[in-house]
Amino acid sequence: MDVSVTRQDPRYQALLRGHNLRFPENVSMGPARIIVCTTPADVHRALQTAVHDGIRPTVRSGGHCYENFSANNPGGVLLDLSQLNTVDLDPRTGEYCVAPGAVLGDVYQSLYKRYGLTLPAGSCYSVGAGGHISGGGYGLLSRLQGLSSDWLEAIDILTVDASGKVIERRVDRKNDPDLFRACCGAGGGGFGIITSFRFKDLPVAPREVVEVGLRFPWETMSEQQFIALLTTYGDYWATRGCDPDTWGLFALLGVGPRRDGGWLGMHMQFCQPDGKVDDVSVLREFMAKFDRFNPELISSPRMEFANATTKPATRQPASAAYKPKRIPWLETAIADRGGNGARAKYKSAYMKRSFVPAEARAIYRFYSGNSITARSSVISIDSYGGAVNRPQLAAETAIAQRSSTMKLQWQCYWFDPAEDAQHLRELDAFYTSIYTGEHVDPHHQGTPWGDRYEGCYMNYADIDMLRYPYWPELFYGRDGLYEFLQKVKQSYDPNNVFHHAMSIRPA
Amino acid sequence: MDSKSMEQQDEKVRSVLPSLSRRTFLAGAATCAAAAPALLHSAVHAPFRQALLHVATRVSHSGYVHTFLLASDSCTSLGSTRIDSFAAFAVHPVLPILYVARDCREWDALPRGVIETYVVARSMSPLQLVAQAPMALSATGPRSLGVSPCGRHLLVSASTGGAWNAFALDPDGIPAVVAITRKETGIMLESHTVSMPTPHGLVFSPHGPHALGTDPGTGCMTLLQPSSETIAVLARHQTPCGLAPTSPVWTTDGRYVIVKNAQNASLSLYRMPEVFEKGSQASFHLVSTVPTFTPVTTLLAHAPLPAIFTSRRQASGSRLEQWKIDRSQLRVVADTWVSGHVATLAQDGASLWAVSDDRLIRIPIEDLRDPNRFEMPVPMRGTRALVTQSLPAHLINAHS
Repeated sequence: MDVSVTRQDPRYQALLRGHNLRFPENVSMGPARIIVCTTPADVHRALQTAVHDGIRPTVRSGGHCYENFSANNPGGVLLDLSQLNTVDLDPRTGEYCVAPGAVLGDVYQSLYKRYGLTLPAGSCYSVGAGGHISGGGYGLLSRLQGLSSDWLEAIDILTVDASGKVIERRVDRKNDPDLFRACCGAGGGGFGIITSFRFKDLPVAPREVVEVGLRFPWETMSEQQFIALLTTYGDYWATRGCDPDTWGLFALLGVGPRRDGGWLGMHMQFCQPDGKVDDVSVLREFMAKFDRFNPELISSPRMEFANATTKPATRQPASAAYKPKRIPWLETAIADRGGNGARAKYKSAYMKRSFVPAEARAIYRFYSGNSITARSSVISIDSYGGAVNRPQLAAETAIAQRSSTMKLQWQCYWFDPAEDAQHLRELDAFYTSIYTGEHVDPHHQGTPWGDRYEGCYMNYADIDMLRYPYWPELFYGRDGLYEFLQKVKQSYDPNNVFHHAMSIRPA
Repeated sequence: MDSKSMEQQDEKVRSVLPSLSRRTFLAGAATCAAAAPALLHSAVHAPFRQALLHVATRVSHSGYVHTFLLASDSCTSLGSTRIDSFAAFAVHPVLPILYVARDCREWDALPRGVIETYVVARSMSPLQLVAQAPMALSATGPRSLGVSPCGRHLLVSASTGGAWNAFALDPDGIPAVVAITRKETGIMLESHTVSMPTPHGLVFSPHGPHALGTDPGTGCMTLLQPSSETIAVLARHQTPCGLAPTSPVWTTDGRYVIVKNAQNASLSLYRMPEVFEKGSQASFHLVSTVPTFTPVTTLLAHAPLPAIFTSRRQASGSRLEQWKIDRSQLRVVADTWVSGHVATLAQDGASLWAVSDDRLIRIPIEDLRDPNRFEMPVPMRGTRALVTQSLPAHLINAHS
């Protein structure tokens, strides 16, 4: 039975907030009511009522949306699906069903403990499946197993037809195939409300993994050394990292403020394609690329990154000194519980090639500065590609980026609302500076557009990009995917009931 | 008009109107607004009133609003204000404020229109922009604006966005930052096809805070009541197939609404109940439809008079007709023919105003066949809308 929470309800403020405390800007921008749904029937009823009453519905699963797509709904209704959170096996179809409110950590536990399976999804425990999977869903196993949406067999979705009637659909490659494709990467809040993700086959979870970290002294690193470090990292993923035997290797290079005693950290997780870690030569080979930068070895990177002084450094080259320590995969999968809420801004870029000096230089100089935004932000440079880059998936899904080898995520966190404008402005300017210069097409300056890039990731939504008329190309590529999605929009949401700042625009 | 002559004009106007600071003006006007509509009635009939005429033109996306000072025997240009992507405008019932809806595809990089609020002031640029309020997300294609007689609500139709938007107005007439939206959906027809919503026309009742909206897409006419939190639907009426109601006007007595039909050359008369309340079973119904031979281009309900005026194309000119409601039927009681295309009409006391062939025409209501034409000092190509505004003279002298 659903629960209706109005503005007068003491729960309203708590339910209104997602993880990004920037949203909504103020209570007046919040919805008139929040409906907490526990069953698909609840969602159906609440949606039908909203449409009948002419009220805009927005949807929240885990509350991790990077932009203001859910909470910002003045006079509207927010459908909270967090209690629609089951993970089950449908005995009639043999499909594993993940409800949108299930958080990834619980999904991992359920799939693993009950079936020995997993989903190659994100690393943050509390991210909800609803927005994550429908927008692609990427994580530490994605190079090995693809995106989480690549594994979808079907989805249950509520759409609203032209006359305003809510329609329950089970869509797959045969039934409403266009809508199914659209929801395999572009389904976040633009076509309907997904009430279940259905998977026929899911990858077997790795039995175990190894984790290791390297850290580089940031304070004494010269600009040239930094450029060399980034290009070494990028070169690997654009070359050797494309070989299938490396797909079990995930790495994240975090670049943050260059302050006294600070470090650049690199976190790696590895397993062989068969889910074992008998042979870590691929990992060791990767680590050896960085020996010349004299990194320190962090054998328990999660602990180490949390407290950088707990582990003594070794004098041996890191790749040689490394002694693999096997960890049950599940332990690593549910380790990242996510932080407390803060005000935040995110940006993203897909890269098909390694860094050029101009990019690395812009990053170095920004983080060598002392701006409040530099001190509050970090760029996570994730390895990408592998199984994600199977070319046929571009035509089967709504994820256009199938050639990239790295994915960058800018993250900026703060607590004081008075700092909002400055952080938004400075982070935007920093991002723009990286993509300004001869390495970017002259007509697309300021954006990761062109031969070296594949635009941005919709799950790292960033409304700054709306100022570019070609923003759909940045997020959906240049091969007609956006036009296809507009046709799907016209067919399945002709009234544009489901819309947010970056949803598919009606044609 | 060049800048020197505009300055001279401005000085001329300044010399005949007493000066008043904007703050003083707003304070006084706010009192007026709070007391409306009772004060409104007396204000309308107070002495020393000054009439203004705003003419909106648009060619492609570029547009202007030209503002004129009207007198019994003259029409003086106050100046022109560039307003691109003009869609519609409306005046505040008591304040010297003009609201303009702009049909920009995007506002601040989001798909939505924007409502601009201008204070009418005595200066080279007679419209001073004082506020911009974005419409709700995806509320695109504004077509009509309406201000409630109490001056507390602004309603907008969003044609391509399939929605109505409402803004609460503060005592200074400034719209709230946040728009309330009501989203329409399509209608399943008997033919099992669906007609999609395109909210278009909008008119407030002369007696209440409710407005009638027309939707030629679905053929629906909807009685809407805006509040600070929602736009309630008081009643709906599905018009007969093929009418496609567009521009509605409400008769001064509040008893009837007349609508021009887009899909055929006709006018329809609807009987409105005396009182509408949310949750009641109120309804309104079609009384009669009368053909007009050629499609009506503009429709005007004269406020003091119980009369309806229309214009429609005829040969190389336009036929202006005065209608009255006689035993539930619309009947023509007077007419005239003017050269050129009259796209829109406005009223001021005993006169109608129209633009035709780049000329402003004043037509005395007592004798439609005796129009006075005024040579226009500004190009009037692409005239979209006219509106008159009658205000105590000191109010439009407020800008400092």
